[in-house]
Amino acid sequence: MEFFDHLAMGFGVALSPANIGYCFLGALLGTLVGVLPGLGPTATIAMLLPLTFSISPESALIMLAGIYYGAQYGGSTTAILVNLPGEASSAVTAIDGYQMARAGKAGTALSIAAIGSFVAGCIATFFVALCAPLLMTVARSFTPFEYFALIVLGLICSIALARGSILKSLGMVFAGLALGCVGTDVYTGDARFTFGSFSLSDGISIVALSVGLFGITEIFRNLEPGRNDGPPGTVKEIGRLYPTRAELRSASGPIFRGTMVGSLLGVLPGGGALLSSFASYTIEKKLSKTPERFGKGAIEGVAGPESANNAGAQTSFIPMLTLGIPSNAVMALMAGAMIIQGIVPGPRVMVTHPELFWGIIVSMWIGNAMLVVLNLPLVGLWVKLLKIPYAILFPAIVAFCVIGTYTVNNTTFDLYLLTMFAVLGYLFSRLDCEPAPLLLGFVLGPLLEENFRRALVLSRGDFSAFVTHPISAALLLAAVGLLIIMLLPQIRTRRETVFLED
Amino acid sequence: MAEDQKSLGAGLAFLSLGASLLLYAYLTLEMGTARQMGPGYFPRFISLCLIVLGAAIIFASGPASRIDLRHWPLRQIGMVGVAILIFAIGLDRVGFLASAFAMAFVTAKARKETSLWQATVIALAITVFCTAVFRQGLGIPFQLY
Repeated sequence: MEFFDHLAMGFGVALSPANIGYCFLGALLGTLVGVLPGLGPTATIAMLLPLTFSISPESALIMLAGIYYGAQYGGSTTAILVNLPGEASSAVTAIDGYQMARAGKAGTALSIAAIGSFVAGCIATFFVALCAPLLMTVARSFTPFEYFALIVLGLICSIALARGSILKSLGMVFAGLALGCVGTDVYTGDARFTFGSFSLSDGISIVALSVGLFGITEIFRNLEPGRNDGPPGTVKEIGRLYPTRAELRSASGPIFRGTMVGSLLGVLPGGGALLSSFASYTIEKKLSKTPERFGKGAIEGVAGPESANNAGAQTSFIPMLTLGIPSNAVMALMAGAMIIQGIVPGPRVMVTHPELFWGIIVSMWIGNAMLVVLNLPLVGLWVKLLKIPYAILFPAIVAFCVIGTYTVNNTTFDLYLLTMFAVLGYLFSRLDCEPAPLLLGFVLGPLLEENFRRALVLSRGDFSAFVTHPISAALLLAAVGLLIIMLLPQIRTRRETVFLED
Repeated sequence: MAEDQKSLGAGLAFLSLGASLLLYAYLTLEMGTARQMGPGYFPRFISLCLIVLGAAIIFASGPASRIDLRHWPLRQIGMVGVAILIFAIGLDRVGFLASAFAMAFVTAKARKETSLWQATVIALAITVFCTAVFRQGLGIPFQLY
């Protein structure tokens, strides 16, 4: 069986002592930073990205995947213990998780979250291993027309999940596309928007951009006057760590349903952890015989969304690895990291670097196993981390962000960019504009332009070719339809109530 | 005065970004034709979209919102920004240790309640930590002093 050969190859890569070490290190560091209040997975990955550039591509991506799961799980820990979700996807966990913690059952909530994530991780790994090659065969038949349409759809979907006004999010996508144009034009070699600066000829550094927009901006927000600095209040007793048989039984249904929902939604462009956890929470509440317990510490409200967001996080690798099209901000960073490592994500990766491809897939599973091993015994350590005063924490985060950004290209120019994006990011956040669509636009911009130009060369300048290719027409139609639905005011108000969490 | 100041601000931001990019593209980049696109074709398209979106955001403004500078952490933004610049400028001149210390010190002092003495201790600890991680751990050849 080819399938098992591939998995075996993956295990061979992922189980080498060095890669196990990097996977472990990634999961540990990811959790460590992800636990810190206010730092979600995107900020965590942006911050830790520079640490991975000095090692081989396989190890780097395995470590990054570890950082991702760690950050995700660390965010849930913070959400459960102190009700400070770092990113919207763990906001759902905070609803019931924090109530469980207040009732003295923090330990149970944490262990259910870990078990749910692990089960979801195992199943989603198989899902990825099965689906990715299928999607690859589809991807091979894609021409620039289909790629262009797919990227457009992905960008529109990313807006669907951003909070606030659709038009503002769309504006952020275009701002990102514009920033993506900076650098040398691949076809003619002309310098674009470089202001005569040689440092910009390779384009804007994705690390400077993302660390500024997500890392430092977040610090500015936390330092706003009138905000309590640092985690408020004390962490309650953790309580019993391992769940009882009855608790496990009531959690098992939500875990499996959450895994299914997450695996499917993760593949969609714009999908991933956030959409999955919201969907799973809604489903569990609908299915429950006692929906009134939700919001008051229902174990199903932790088990379902936690499994779903982990499964979704994992399957959102599929579009990035097979089509080269990241579906959310985190995957955009992953794609950026791959490009810095000299590997262009896309259908060729599986053929030219099979060991990398399968190594990452298997390491997802190993990373999840490590999280269980790491998190349950180390819960005490994470609780201590939450007690570090913000006065000490934020200078350390700033220093780490700055030095890390510098090390990527060894140029102080990136630090000026970093400062600029940090201030811009804060400005945008004050104007209620989300940074995630901008990052996605920035990463997908060059890809969009390349396929746009290639497509029009193929069609000899005829724009109607985008609609005469059936797949491309269907994808563009879906994008337009989605945009219209989002702009209908009626649905907009409903959407706002779904995202009312903060 | 506009009711929805945040939308006005965001709209103006996109509008001015689009307009300046369009002007810059017009002055420096060749447009080409759809069949044979020049480096300026796509950027022009993007900047036109930005202009349209910016205008749309201003016109379709939502419920009233205010931009109140008094709630902005201006002191903190300024000091953290300066701290990063200190590191960037100092690194090649006074070396890693001094510039990292200065950066961490200024950043720590961005929070008003932190005393000079506390900031010194925090900055020292951060300098040691970052030297350990980046120079010893990752082997990045920083000039220490």
